[in-house]
Amino acid sequence: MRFALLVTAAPDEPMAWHALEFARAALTTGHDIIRVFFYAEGVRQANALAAPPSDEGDIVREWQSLREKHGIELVVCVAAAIRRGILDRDEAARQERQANSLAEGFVLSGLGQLVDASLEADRVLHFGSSLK
Amino acid sequence: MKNIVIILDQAPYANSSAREVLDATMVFGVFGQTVTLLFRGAGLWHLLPDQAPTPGNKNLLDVLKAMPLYDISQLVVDGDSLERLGLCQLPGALKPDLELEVANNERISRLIRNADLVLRP
Repeated sequence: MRFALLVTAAPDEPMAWHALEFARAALTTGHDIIRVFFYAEGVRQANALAAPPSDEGDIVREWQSLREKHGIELVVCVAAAIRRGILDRDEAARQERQANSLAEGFVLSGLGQLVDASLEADRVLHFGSSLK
Repeated sequence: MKNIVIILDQAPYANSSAREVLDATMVFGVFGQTVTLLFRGAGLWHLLPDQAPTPGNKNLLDVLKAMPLYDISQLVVDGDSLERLGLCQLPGALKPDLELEVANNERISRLIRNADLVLRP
């Protein structure tokens, strides 16, 4: 089956880890993940500057290693990201900010990437925040 | 073309969350999908007239009024939520120049059953 994942849970919420584990399980059992789209608080999963304590998991690294192993697309909504201080080099220049913070392996793009994946997928799974 | 139902059940100005639901809704519309925006629970606070958000917040009622420009013409209100919040008794509520359809549970479950994709972002 071909899945698209929408992740709006923040990295410190269990739901974010459920998304990761789902993606891992799907990929290792022969399913396709067209794209993981990070939106709303979910974009914080692409923050290269986040440094969780060593006895807690590092979800940024986990997504990156999943990408290294399976080559999945990790797309971060640009509007949601830059308002939260997650910028790649180009955006940092465009917004005149001094640092860039987008983790390697993630790309900034528009919401069209969510629509596109939704139309292509057999199933769209949304891993949302439980805090709203 | 797919049938998309987007559920808005968040109050307008608590954080950027509702704003981001509306952004996603518009983009699905721009991409030519049939989009229904369903207001439930605290989402009904979007439908009050004369909203005056604190400085720094965009007026989300203006965003809602622009929905037809993005080809989103179906705005549906959950009748149960309406009753629970007592909004029917508030003069001017639900008359913010939007074309709204108040729907009962049966109609809403039909909408959701017929949808290819239901999002509650």
